[in-house]
Amino acid sequence: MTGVDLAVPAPAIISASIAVPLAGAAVMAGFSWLLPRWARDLIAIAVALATTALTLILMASSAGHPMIYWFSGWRPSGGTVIGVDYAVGPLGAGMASLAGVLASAALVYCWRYFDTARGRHHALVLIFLAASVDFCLTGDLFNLFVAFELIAVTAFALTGYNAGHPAPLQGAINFAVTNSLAGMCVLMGVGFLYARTGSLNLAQIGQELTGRHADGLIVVAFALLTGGFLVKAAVVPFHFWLPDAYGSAPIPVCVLFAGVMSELGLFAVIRVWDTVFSGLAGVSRPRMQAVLLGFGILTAVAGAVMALAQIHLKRMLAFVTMSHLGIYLIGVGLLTPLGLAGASLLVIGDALAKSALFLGVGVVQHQRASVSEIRLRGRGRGLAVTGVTIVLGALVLADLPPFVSSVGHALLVDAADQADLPWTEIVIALSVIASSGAVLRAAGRIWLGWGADERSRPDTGTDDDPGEEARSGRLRSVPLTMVLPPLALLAIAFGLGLGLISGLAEHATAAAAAFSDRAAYAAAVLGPHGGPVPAGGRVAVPASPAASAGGVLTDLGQVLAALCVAGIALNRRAVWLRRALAAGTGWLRRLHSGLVGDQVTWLAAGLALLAALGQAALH
Amino acid sequence: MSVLAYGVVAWLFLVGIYGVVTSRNLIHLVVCLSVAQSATDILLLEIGYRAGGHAPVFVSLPAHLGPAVDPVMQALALTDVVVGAAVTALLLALAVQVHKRAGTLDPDALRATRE
Repeated sequence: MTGVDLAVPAPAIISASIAVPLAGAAVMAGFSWLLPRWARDLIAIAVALATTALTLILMASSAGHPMIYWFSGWRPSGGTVIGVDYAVGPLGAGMASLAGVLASAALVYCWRYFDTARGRHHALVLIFLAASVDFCLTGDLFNLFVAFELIAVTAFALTGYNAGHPAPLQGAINFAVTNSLAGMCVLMGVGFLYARTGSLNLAQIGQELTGRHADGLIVVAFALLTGGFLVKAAVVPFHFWLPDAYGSAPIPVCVLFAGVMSELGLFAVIRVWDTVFSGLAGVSRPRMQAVLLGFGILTAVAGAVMALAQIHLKRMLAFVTMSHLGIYLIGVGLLTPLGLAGASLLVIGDALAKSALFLGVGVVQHQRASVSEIRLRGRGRGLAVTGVTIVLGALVLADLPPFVSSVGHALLVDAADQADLPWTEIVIALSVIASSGAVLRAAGRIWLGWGADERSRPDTGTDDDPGEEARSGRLRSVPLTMVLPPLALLAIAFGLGLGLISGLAEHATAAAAAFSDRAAYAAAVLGPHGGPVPAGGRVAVPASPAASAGGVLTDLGQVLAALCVAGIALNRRAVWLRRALAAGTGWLRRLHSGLVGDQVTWLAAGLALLAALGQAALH
Repeated sequence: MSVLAYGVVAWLFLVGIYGVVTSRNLIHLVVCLSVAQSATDILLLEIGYRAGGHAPVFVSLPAHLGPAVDPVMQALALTDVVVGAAVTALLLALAVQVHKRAGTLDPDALRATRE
């Protein structure tokens, strides 16, 4: 594929893709009191859409060769980097445009969701978007940290936006404390790498470390950086903040969190691994694979089990998100371009589906003043469109063909086969079935009134969250701006899967191959002019995997199995099964105590574990 | 000097984390977080430190002053201070809200989310 010719010079587009949302945020924060409500919303949505368009252009034009942009023209001289660069590749630009799409949907949804949306909320969303774009495009380790912190601080503020209630307060505090500690770990890792290599540029650090043997300092830097990013990615045992934050944040904010924020943590892990650590002499790829797969499998399974145990819909979706993050980590952890490509397409497909689910739950919360599956039993009448949205979202999460997630799933299966780890497919399938089954169970209970009335069940576990966003006029009709965005997101997933972009799997694989090509990346950044460098070896895509009958059958099997799980969970005669499940998972649920002290203890233990594993994998 | 500085970094970071883990008061917890944060700042300054180096100011100074300490690390530490201030301010604002709603600053009293 060749790059698209641009009428506007590339540097202008690259810098605009971050300047536009930042400028929009500044206008929102500074002048929104001058503007009427509709103008505020329109400007914010227009800015988010413009950012999406800019990053989409970058994605199309950086295919084939990375685009390097040096701030203020501080190019490297004699192979030494002084300035800060953006290294734009299709994978990073694709993540950035996903953030743009979700931010646009969230802002449209906000139109009627908050009774009093002030400019500050829109400003925070736009800063979040700008920081995400920065995070995806940057080629500088310290800039990566700054973007990490900027995302984090805006996310803390957005989580605690409804500071009038205890749940958002607790969610925001747990989120802020754990993720600040994660930021400190990342910064110390940056410092250690600078101490060893004298550079902050990813490509140059990688060059300095190539062929060296890892010493203790590099292992510690690896553990601190990877651990810090895994906190953001909510990987077991770093995940405890996630249900508290997602379960209490406003719905439009959940869309941004579940769709892009945690995924960016994984993006950073693999970005740093590919550009910095993978060139060390004595690196054991199989061991590194085992480390990442281990974390991924734990996260996928724990998330799925916890999702089944939830009746609070937002917390259930939080654990569904976590389970899927584990699946992406399995794909990324295969350390092959094919696995990365599969995970990327899954991220896109699932992000659209999860966002639709969160937005659908938001409609229910808005109309029925509850997010408790038990209390909402049979109260779905009048919200039929939302019911269809939620069921469809759950089925897309189970990789229903021809939505785009099934294409990603097919690539992931091929990657697992090629890496000789076919058993990981079973873990992925079981996690997907269980987490989608949980959502379908809730939908069956709410819209069909199935299942026993369990309002008196003692271990309901989770308090209800009536939703404080719209106190007035609960029973007014559902605004179109709340019904349409989730459907539009699902339509995008459908269009992408059906071939809106022809050869999607091939493009994704080429993008992932370019992303993992350490030598080409270093040459592009450090080369004399930062000009185009031919990408390395192409990865052969198995002939049209999505269309293969086996892949479609597997996906349909997953969908059917998820429906069966929901059916069994709602069957009145299967009480013993539910009791057994509740008893068997009680210890896991008790671990999620919601106490910030416990969460930080787990974080510290996880870091120690990661350092030990890093020692084994890097030495 | 160098060993002492790294020792201080490790001590401050661990003490800060211990404080966060065991804290029974949100204000105390936020301060403990700041203690851990100061460990990262000292680490950065120590990494950039050069024995006998002068401050990295190169304007209107006589030439051949000898080595200077690394200004890059100082810039990083400065950025970190800004980030830390933002996080501390936000957390303190949340602590005020907690006190308004719950009448206590005990982080465990807030168990709104559960299992």
